[in-house]
Amino acid sequence: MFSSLNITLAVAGLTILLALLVVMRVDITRGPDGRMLAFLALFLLPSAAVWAGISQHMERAKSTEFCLSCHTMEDYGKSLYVDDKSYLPAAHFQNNRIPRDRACYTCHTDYTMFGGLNDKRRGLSHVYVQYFGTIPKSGEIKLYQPFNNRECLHCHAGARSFLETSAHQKSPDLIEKATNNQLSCMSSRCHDTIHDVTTLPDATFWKEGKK
Amino acid sequence: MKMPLETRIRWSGLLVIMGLAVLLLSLVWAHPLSFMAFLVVGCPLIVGGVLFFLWALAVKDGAVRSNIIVILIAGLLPFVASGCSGSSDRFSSTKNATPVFDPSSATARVYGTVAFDGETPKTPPMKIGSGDQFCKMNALDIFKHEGSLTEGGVIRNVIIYVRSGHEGRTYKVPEQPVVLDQQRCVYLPRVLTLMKGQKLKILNSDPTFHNVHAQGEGRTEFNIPQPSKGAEDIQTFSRAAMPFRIGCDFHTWMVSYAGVFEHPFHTTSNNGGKYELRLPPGKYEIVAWHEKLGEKVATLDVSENAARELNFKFDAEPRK
Repeated sequence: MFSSLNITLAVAGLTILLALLVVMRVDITRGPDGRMLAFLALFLLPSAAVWAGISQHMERAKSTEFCLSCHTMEDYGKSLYVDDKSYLPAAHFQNNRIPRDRACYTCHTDYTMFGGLNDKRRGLSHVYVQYFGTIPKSGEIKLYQPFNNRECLHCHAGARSFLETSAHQKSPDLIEKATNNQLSCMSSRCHDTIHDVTTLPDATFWKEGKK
Repeated sequence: MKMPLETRIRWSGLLVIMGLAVLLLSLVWAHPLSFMAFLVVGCPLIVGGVLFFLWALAVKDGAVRSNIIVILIAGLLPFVASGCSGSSDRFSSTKNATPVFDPSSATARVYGTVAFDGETPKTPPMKIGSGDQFCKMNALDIFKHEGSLTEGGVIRNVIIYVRSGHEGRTYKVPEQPVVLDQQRCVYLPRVLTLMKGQKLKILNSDPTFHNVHAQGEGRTEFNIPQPSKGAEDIQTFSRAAMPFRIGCDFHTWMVSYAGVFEHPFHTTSNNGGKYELRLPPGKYEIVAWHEKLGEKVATLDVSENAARELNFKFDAEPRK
């Protein structure tokens, strides 16, 4: 009942009602009580509504549904259902290693102070491209910069499976180099099957709830 | 023009109501377009209404002063612009309106020698781990290569480039790749220059594992493994920086430096310490950069078909 969406809707609705009252009976602002009402309806509540609206939209922009609502991203969404555990995003998605409702955002955000804001800024430019620019083919989309191990280690750092797995013990300093981003988890050819959308036509897909 | 206080409050209320209506509509649909609609339309309307209301309270005589309206509009512009932030650098059709410069049309020649004044520094001994037999067998070659200074008081492996004076033109990225090879556990060449976006072909001629880790200004540009002999990868630099440090994390003595530029006016000094640049007429700030000795800067005017000698001399002081 008291979800953030409901609170935002309530604040916006209440503000509209009070603002309508002030607009339609503007003569009430001649008195001090009316001025207070106008201050509430035209300054305090709208400011709160803007803040709540931005927060709401920012949260919604983290959802998988939001990211996949762009046609260009459909193949990347499909790749989450590939029935092959060597596909890194599919293995994470299907085994709940990442929250499914925030699948894209969980990996594709910079876990830094302004990482989330930078993501939104880039996202806005993507929307612009979607409608006014030249949309690249899904297989041609590249990351802005090489994937930083930091995003993997946000969850994996310190995990027993990460530290003790035999592949990670092959070299005595491999964990240290991976932790320092000196050796990429992905482009080191250890975990290099990522979305691989060009292979989707030949792939089989997992159907949830069916063996 | 006079506008009574009540009219001003009414207008601010209408702006707020319209903005909130956009907010409510945008929350119905979880789609990037609704986010954009809120940012570009809803937010400016609400903020405009709030500012208009504050102004209505502040200006008692009711006179609509044009300068205040200008201030209000100026205040709203950033909100409108925020909706398109991050896209202007990609899609501005006017950005590339400057003509593309053909490097072969540069007729002025700037040439010279990079000299060294003082006693050649001694290269400290290197430790090569016992675990890597291939590199250990080639330790002598590695040690020779490490010394960046040649005999005879001239310096090789100096990057000479134009720092300013090249602006106002658009430069085409050469299609020819620059080659960086790993031979006997050293990078060849030690320094190289290329343009942003130009291909860098990276080869591994060694029967051992190398990784090629390029970093500039504290950020990793790429980090690729080349596990065996014959490995070949193509990389590009997405930004200009001077310099990028390229290194192998497994063989810490393996270092190369790449100067990446927005323009084609750069080169490196050869074994005799000589270099040559081809430039169009203009006034340039030319820099000579060495990995250990720092940089020297000179300003030069060149005219059409001119041949200007510009020598650089470094002293033995290490760079700070």
